[in-house]
Amino acid sequence: MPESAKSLRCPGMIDLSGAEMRRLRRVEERFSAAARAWGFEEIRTPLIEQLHLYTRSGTLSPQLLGRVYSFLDWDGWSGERVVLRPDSTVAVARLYGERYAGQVKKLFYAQPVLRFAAGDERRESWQVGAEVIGASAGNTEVELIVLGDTILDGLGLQERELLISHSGIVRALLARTGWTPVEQSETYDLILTGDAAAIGRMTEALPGLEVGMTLLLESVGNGPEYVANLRTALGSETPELTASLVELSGASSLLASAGLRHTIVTPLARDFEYYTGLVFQWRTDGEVLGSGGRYDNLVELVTGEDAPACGFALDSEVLETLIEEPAPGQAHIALLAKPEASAPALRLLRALASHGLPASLNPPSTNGLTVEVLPEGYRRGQNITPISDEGVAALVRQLEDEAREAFD
Amino acid sequence: MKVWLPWFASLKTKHEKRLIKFALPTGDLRSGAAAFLEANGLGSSEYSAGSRAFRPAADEPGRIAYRVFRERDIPIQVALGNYHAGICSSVAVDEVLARHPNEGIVKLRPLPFGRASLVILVPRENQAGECLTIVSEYPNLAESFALERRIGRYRVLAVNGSASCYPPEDADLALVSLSHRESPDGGALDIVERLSESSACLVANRKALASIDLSMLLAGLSLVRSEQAASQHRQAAQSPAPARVPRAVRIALPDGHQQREAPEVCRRAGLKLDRYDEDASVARPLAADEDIDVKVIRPQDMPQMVAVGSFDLAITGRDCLLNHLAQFPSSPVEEIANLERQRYRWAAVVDQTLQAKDLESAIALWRARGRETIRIASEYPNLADQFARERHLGHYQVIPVVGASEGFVPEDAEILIEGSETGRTWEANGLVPLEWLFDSTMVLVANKNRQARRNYRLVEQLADRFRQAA
Repeated sequence: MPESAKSLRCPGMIDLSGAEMRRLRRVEERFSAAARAWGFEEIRTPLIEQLHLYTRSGTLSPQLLGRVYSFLDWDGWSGERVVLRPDSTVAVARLYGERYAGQVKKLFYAQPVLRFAAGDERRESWQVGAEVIGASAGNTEVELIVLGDTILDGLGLQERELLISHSGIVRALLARTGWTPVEQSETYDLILTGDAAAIGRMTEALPGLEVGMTLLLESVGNGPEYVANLRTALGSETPELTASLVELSGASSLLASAGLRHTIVTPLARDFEYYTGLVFQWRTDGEVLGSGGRYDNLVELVTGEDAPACGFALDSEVLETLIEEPAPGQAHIALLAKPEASAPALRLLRALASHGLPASLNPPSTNGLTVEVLPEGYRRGQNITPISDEGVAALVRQLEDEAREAFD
Repeated sequence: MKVWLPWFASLKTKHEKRLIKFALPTGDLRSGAAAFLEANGLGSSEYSAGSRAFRPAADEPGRIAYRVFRERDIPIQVALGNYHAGICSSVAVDEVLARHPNEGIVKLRPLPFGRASLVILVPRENQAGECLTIVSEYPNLAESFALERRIGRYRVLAVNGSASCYPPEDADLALVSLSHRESPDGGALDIVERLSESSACLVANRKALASIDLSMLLAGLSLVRSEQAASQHRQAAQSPAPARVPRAVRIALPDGHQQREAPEVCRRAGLKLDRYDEDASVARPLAADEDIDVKVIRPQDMPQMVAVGSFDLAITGRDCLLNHLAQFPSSPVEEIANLERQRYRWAAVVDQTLQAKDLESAIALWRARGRETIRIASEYPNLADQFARERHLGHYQVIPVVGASEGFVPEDAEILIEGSETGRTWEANGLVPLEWLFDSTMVLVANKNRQARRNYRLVEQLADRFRQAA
């Protein structure tokens, strides 16, 4: 999208063209249709939320909190700040606690999140996401992975990889180091970027676990066998990891039996402290298409309501850049009229609309039936239909027949 | 003793045509900065002598152009690129970078004066509620502190001074910069954490470093021990925070300029106070009337404190109230008495050579000179922003200023939004009012919802005494 260096746009904020919007809507419609078919209902949360929802330990990482857009609202004289929604899951957890406490809810949304990024990197990201809240733990995460996979398949994105991990593994190991939460979080982020020094520092801080750490941080796995190796290398020395490794192994087996190829990468869920269990991510060519996981403590942290939960979100704008133009929609009846024929044109437009026939006045292009509107009548081919109630009714009937034939 | 270094000798040949714009601090860092410049052959006798000139001449002309600012303004001016370099406290830079990490300011090196510690103070006895209140003159650093410590629900009271006076009654903890000669609030507060050590530092604009020869500042400067030369920090008399005895009515009284007349207003209202007079005060003067609790804070901070319910009444300026309401239009604070003192006429002030008859023609002149962004400086940035919005100024930039604001126009701003008692300061600095805005006087403010409070009758009785005194 070439734009002049002196654009009036704010840095990191992006306009979408007509074609880009058509692709974005295709992503959202595909997601919505699949989510509804799976029993989810659509919700929307406000763009502005209280900052304190996001600041507690166990919500967002300090690095992400350092990039949120927080400010004093027009009535913020008390000094408490509000924030432009930096993450939808926390907002959905708040909504659940306030509206649906005690129920099992399957919710989905299509809305943006806003986070500062340097330069012209995107600061507003549109996402589509689905959350299951209140359901006792089972295989919900795997079901959500299958839902996401179905949607990505439907968008024609076959070339992708599925990565899974368990948030409890690295968290337990970082806790063992004795570092402060900020040091742990910073090291975790560096490990995600493959920073060798950070990996070395963590390995040094955990003597006796060198083999397990190498396996964890410097290699990836393809299934339950890898998890078994991890359990052997780490299990006896680190009993606090056992539950996480068992869950990871179970999910990996289930995915494999469902025919879903996946890779196990231990450090996976950046920026989000709320994940408590299995986490997953879809990527293509290093670009993240979407991610999700289990977050059993978040709803209680935000609202005081104890409710297990898991969910995922896809990045609509990334997907938009990767998919094909949607197939042309239903053909329209194009009314071509000069200004002096506006009145008969609008009369016919209303008559067609009342019969459920898609029509538009002077469209930029035509892909179906065309009627030329003249001051003296409606020309269709060589025939001119008079401008009268009878004439309009006859023309509508004719167009209805032709449209059915043409569009079918 | 002057230290003549090789870099200075080279200056004479290499930098004949280069004029470096350098921002110097007034206030506590002034004598240290003057001694430092003197030791490095960059001195300004005018600056060293404590002249009030905004642009003191360098003793060695043609090399460096000085401009004196309040030190809190220097990081912003250097970050904006209005000045290539400057001297200010490192904590003032950290405050800017905490909120705007990509700002174009670089700390070049610490200087050996103005040492202080950024600390967290808590009262000995404190019971924080669900929402922790942090008071600070450094609100961005306070936000960072709260986020890093994962304090769930908190609010930051951004104040203009006397932050350590707020706990325990009006805040749960204070984030303050304590010079090494200070102790926290007479010993009633404990330092629970030292966040960082700071000192004066040499700063530069990032783009200037990339494109302008600043080698005269980057070479081996003599870090003269100027701690002794620095002025003794004027330490306000402190009174220890009293044990919390809830009183019926809480009133905030002003320090600073308004302290010249507020004690007389109190006397006329029959409010007898121990240790609050025209020359000096303590943070918590004792009222003869046991039902009245008094605290001395900055007038700029009072509307917010009344709005949040910390005080029932406050004596402040109408300008402070309007600045608060410009930011928070629905804030429940209102003027309930005009105390008819300290009249300031507020105006949009411009350079007298502009030859503009009104704002519209002034904007046309500035635009014709290629200035697309109209810069509006003010110590009351919310009023400046409101002024620009209401007049549809188009592309504008509000420059928050801590002090010495008359020196901003015309070099660093096109418009100054400011009040003046006589207009003589404007005249002395070549400024003229382009548009009169409002008259500000000392006023009594209260919470709009006071009728619902149990002490309403007592608050109104005290307010009536002030109304009669006016």
